[in-house]
Amino acid sequence: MSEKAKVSAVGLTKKFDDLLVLDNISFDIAKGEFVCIVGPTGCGKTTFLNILSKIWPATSGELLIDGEKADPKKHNIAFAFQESSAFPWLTVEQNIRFGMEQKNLPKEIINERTEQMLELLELKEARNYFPRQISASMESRVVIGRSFALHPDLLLMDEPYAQLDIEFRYHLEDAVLKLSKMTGSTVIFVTHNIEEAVYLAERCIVLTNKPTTVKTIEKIDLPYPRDICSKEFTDIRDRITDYIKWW
Amino acid sequence: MSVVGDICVRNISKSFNNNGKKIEVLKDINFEIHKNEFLVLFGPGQCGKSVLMEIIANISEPDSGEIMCDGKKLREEDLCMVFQRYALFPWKTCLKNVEMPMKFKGVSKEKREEKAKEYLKLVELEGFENSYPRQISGGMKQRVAIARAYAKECDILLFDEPFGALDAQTRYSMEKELIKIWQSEKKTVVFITNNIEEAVYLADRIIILGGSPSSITEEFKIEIPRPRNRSDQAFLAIRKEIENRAVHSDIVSG
Repeated sequence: MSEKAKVSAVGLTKKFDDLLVLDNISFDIAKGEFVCIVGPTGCGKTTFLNILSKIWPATSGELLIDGEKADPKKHNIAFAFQESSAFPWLTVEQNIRFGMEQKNLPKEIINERTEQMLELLELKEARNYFPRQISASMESRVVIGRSFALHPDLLLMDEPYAQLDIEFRYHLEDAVLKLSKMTGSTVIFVTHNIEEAVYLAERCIVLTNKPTTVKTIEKIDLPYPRDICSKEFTDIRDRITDYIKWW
Repeated sequence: MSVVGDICVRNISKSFNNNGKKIEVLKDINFEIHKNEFLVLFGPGQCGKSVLMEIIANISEPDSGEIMCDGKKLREEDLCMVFQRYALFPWKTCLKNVEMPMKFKGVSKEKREEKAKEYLKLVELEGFENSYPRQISGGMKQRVAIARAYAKECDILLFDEPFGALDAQTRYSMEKELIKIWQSEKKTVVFITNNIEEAVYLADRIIILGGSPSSITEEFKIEIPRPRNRSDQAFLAIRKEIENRAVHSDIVSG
């Protein structure tokens, strides 16, 4: 583990009985870094996230935050799932406040960050609506706002807007980048979509097929906002595609 | 088997009644679908793409206008539809699902089993004849649905966002296979999507719906040779052009 790593995976391994799913995965992520994880369909990304989020225990290996064993009681680990997970009985505003209230943050901070999230994610006018009254894209934004409002040590995102219309994708991709810079959160973003990964990531961790291990780590040194049509962009996209292409 | 030529969509309008308030969804839609063409209908959510598709499929009646083919109305047996949610019979095996349209037509048991196996082979599902839908992945289910549509041996295939629920990579694989199948056995295809990359990869021609009520706002002919490469400059240029028009006009309004 390097000195300044915020998050380190050290030899993460997961077995279900005899079936080896994750095989000795190690990497370091710096504070505030935006990392995307891509791999072939069915390579065990979900298992990987469940281990990182501490929802499941690893068979062996450790996840370290600031050099200590990651502990949800101590560290802020937030998770934005693929399925919308806004609480249906809370309004948009209450959803965003929820995580911070659980962490007993001071009231002023909760108020300030809630306003900031509502503003940035264009949810101000919808603050008093319930999830069932808003569109799917708005609901994704609520979950993203709730996650970032915590200023988490580690934010795990599992294709939080895989099913959205184009306009919202651009919008959200840019919003997520902005929020990650603003809150200084370290983000691990899992996606099937290589173009999206190259658009977002500072580094891209490429996984292999099962048993899953790290195939390579690509540094993406392009300035933001990135031009998906530029030669530099498509070269990186093609290179990563070649690592995982099965179709 | 009937041979269907070009299809004319003429002056189609459709509105719905919502608590006494009339909501216009489609207004004066006119276009042609050429024989054996791969036509993509692109538009944002709730723009009325599926309503238009249902009118083409004769599931729903327009308020005005008509859909004609060689001077006649389209018949049920001329077309087949593939839906986003697969619509497979869960209590039937893959093979029996594919046999279904032939069974309705009265094809003999041996003949339809033979044919169904052929179509499952066409979508690369050999060996899954006796699996049930719950035992296979989403991409595989959609391939069964495509095999079933082909098994109807009709001239026109209608696809309503069939790959919308699949992950990006499975989608790429399905798009590639669909083109391969369509090239080996040409049919007239009308395909709905809200994914521009998918539209440019698949289409001979893209028709863009937009506005409220929806009408046709643009039409693009895609002349890139197949198989198409998604990171090819010509591909990206067309994609960007469509994106610019769609995102920066009021076409995509969410």
